[in-house]
Amino acid sequence: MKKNDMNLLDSFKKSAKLKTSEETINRAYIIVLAGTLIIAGALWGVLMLQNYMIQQDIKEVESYIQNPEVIRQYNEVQKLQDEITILERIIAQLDSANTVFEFMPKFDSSVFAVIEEARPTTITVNRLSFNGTVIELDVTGTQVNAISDFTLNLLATEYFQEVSYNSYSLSGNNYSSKITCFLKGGQ
Amino acid sequence: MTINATKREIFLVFVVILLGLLALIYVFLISPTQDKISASESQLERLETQKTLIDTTIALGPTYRARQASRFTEANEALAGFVKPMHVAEFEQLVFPVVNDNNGRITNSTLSAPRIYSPYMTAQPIPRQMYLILQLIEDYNDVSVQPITYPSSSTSLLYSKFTYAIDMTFNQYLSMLDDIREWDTTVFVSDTNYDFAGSRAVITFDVFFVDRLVEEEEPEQPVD
Repeated sequence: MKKNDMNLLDSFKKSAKLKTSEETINRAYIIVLAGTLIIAGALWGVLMLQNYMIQQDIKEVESYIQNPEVIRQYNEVQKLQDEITILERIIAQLDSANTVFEFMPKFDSSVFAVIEEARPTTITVNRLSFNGTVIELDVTGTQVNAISDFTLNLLATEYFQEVSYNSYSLSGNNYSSKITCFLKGGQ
Repeated sequence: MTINATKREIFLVFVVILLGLLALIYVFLISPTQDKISASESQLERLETQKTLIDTTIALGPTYRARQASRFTEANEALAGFVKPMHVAEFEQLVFPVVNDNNGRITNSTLSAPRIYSPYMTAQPIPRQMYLILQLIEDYNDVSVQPITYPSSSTSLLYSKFTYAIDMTFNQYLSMLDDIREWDTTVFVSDTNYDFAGSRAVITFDVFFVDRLVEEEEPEQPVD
């Protein structure tokens, strides 16, 4: 009992050991806390740096895009594109009209030459008319078969879509009729 | 006041504080910064796309310039086939020489002011008279008759109609029609008749006008 009561060194050692252990734990807490803060701070710093670098890239690209010379060149090419589109629309519209014009039946000496070639000598053309679609011939013939001969001859040329007549009549010594020639177009 | 706590309790409090601190750091620092980065990256991506578009467009400058010149020439060539808008009196100045060259004498005229008009195909296909037996015969003979296809146009042009009554011989009349066709422009004889007894021709012109492209005064700077 005496021995125990008098062993102050052990008691001191125990007390010191306990104190050291608490300080170690506290230090560990501080280290962990500080380490965590440092890591979090570093992470935040890295992110900030990353953001800064992106911002720099944005500034660089923006300065390129907003460069007056670049804008001028870009606008110029845009204008060219617009002009090309408009010109192509004009060409398409003109081509569309030209297609119709080229196919539209025309009347000139070549058409009459076809008619003249088919005309029997017994037929006389008194009046000729063209209305953009058909040619009408007011004819007189000295023989009853003259009108049909002329019509068949005109059909045989294959120049016309259709050739027709509806009637004829004898007046004096001549048969008169009106022959209608339907043009094909594109000739 | 003294708080007596066990090591375990202290440890738990520490962990809670640490987690709370980390949460605060994440919520108030890292997350906003990440959002900013995300927004910045989106902005950068958008700008990069815009830059690529600009670069590509600018690089195509010479190609577009050549194409524009080519289309301009094509449009002018196509327009050259059309009569440019003119006054009635100006059109008459085109007709008089042709009439005079063919010894014709104008006895009457009707002249209309220009209006907007769509050219249409005057010729029309004559429908075939079709009946069942004919259809069967054609099927038996394996014959199919293709109808004529006529072009159509939805464009609209300036249009005028001019009619002249002219005293002239039939040969002069044909010669005049040939002369008009040789103009090879958008002046068409749409209606005409010739009376052999009276040696009188009536000719109606359909004239389609189109304005011209304006020439650029100065050539533009080449795009690099």
